[in-house]
Amino acid sequence: MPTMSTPSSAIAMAAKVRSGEVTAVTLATLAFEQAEQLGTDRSGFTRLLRRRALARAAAVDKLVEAGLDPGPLAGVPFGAADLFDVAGEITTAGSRTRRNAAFASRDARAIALLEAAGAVLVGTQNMDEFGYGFVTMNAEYGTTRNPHDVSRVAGGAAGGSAVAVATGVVPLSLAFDTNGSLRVPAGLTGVIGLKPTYGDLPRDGMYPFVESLDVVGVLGRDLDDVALVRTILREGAPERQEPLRGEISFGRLMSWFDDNISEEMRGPLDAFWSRLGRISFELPHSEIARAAASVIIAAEGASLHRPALEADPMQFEPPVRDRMLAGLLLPSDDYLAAQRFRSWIQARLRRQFELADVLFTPAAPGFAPTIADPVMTFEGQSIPARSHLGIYTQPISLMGLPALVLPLAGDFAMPLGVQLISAAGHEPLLFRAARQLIDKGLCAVPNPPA
Amino acid sequence: MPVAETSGKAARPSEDSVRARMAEAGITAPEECVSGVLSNLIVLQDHVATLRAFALDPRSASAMRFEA
Repeated sequence: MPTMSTPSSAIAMAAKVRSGEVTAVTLATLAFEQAEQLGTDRSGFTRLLRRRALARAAAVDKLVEAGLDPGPLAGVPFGAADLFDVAGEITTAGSRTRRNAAFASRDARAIALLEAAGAVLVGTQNMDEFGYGFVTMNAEYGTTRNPHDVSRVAGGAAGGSAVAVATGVVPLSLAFDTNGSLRVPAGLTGVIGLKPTYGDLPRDGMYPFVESLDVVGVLGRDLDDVALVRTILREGAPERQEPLRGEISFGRLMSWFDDNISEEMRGPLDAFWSRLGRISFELPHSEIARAAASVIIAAEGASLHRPALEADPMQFEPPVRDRMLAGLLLPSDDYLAAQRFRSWIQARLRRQFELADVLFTPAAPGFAPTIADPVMTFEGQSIPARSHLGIYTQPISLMGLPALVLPLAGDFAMPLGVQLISAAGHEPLLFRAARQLIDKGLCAVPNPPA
Repeated sequence: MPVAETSGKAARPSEDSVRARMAEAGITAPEECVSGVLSNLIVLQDHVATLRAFALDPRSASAMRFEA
């Protein structure tokens, strides 16, 4: 199968801009050309910010000409899911209900930090409405297609951000993760996705969905790029945990995380596990964690959007509208019970990582479902992928743990992602583990067909 | 620590109860929404039953602590 040439990493691009080998304006122009050539459904971008980006890129080039350093991401084009504020633009959060919302008065903190490091925002990207879905099939802004098979979904909710990276339009996307929003599409489109520890990265200017679960995250094709973005977004904050030294121990999570795995995932995951010593663990109460996460999302999401639901529920997409209306009917006691469980399991989990440094699960049950029939198999039943593709990511969100999704290496018909999980605050360990897996040839970012 | 198993059983919602509950909640939604809301409410009720079957003593864990 013919493949695209491997796009350059962000770090390599920035080095070329700093040395004068290429200009930031050229990189931004190339990103626009590729996005336009692919179109909205295949590039992941729903809005291109040509004027803003070219002005910023020209400013980066001027700094280089003056012998100054524009920063570690000098001239690197990037995109952001359309729930990060961009000054002078409407933050749609993928919803028709926000078509006439006020323009954002300033950039989201994460965008401002990346641009302060020299990066250039070239556009905003498609997502499920308000992030409530795992497929990026949006009635208002269209369906984002998987570049490895355009008849299949990209996954969601941040599918546009994953596809923009998978196709090489940009080396990096800023995304978000509530319950698997970036991990599911990372797994299905074959890119690297970081969901940090809850609270680790700044959410200012990010349109909220579920405040007790939402995090800012990063998608990229190169591990070092993703690590660099995390460092920039943390603004020099000290790591929460002492770095762990020595050999990393891996453990596969079973039970909930082993049930419902598709046949196409099981063989490659078993082979991966064998190379890591076939150690397995249980993560007790994962099913309850998923239930608690679902209750919290329904209640908080519905509460956030109550005014719009009261004004005109028909402005929402039907699947989102019906889920939110149901959420409005939840008793507060059930929401508080879910939050109480969350607190309890987080405390209990700290002991789990005395047994293994890094735990792993599939990022999604198998290959991306088709757009024509977006379903998956769960407990023998065919059910909507829109609400269930995150079965392995949801419990981890409730626990607030950091996770890094990597594509499994191999010649598969579609990408298959593995989710690495560490104790809270141990992202450096996750990056070290991921580097080890890439260097061993167990994980690799695939190129989509040309 | 978990202290009690509860039945977690609750009456299944119906289209009529969905209409009544939406009205009580001050939500006016067209009739075409009712079946979809009902389906989602049943899913949520299953999640709630899972949660209630593992009842925690309300004093054993805070419901207001968010950091990991």
